[in-house]
Amino acid sequence: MKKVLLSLLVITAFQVNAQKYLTKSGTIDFLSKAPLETIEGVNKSVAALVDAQTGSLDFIVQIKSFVFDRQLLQEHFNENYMESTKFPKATFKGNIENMKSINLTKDGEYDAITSGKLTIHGVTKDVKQKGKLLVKGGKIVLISNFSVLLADYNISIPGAVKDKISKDVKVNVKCTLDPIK
Amino acid sequence: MNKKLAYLLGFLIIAIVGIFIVLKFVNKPVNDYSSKEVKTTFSFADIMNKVSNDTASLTELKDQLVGIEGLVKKVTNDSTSTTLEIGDTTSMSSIICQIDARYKNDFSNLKPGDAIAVKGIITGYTIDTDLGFGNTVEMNYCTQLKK
Repeated sequence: MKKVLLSLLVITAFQVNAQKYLTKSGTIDFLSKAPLETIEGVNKSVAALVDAQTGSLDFIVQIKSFVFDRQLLQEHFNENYMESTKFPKATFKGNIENMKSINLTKDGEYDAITSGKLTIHGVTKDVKQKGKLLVKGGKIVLISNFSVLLADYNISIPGAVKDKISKDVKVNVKCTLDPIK
Repeated sequence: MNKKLAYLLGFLIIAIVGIFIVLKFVNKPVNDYSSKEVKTTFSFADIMNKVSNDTASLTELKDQLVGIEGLVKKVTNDSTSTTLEIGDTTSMSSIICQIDARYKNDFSNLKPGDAIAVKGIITGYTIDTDLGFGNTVEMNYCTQLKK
């Protein structure tokens, strides 16, 4: 009996670890705060995929899917700063380095360390970032907050609005991923 | 009233009107497409067929207002927004519609499996070859498609 229970436990644990988690409606928002103007954009159609077995983590973000409250901001963001017709997507391809220390069978909040390649505006950089991974009712929630220096990704600000736009942008990520059945 | 005062008054009126026009332009809210006519309406299968076999015509639909008919696969709600995933259970591929926040309440009773017709701006698509996401088409500022 003990052997059967142990086998079941091992099989269940293996299935959890072999599990992939996905969302196509994750949220990324950003905030650019400068003395003269605050700019906020939000994208609620972010795709994210976690492979629990390998720890691989992928994000795909359509730049034109960012929503603003003012039409002029939306046009400037797409045409002048992000050049979203030329560079339609931002991506992250990397790993959750400490995936093995996260127990996906137990609800709770875990520290997650991610590293990989972040591509924005056609420029790819190696990044490493701390975040949180929440396990809740079989789902996982990825949460991270970080800053992006616009110059690192060759995003230039026209001279006329240079003082209006912050040189770095605060980015917040929150994605709730469902297990793929 | 002397000439100087008249000029000054005229200048002030022009300046105030100018500032008003500039502020109105700068603070104009994002476009509301709820009353606009769609270019074309597609079924979910039609759009996914374009993603697989005819990306040239799908690319032409980018930034255009189109209608989509299909089944709700998932509804993601928070206090300020609703995002719909349109698709079916046989495939990972889907259409993601960010609902225009001004019309969020029109979608409050939706649940997976419901038939839906929406219109919105196509913002892009992703062809997945290796990750397991399935193909995805994204739309913004979606509202109900009324027939």
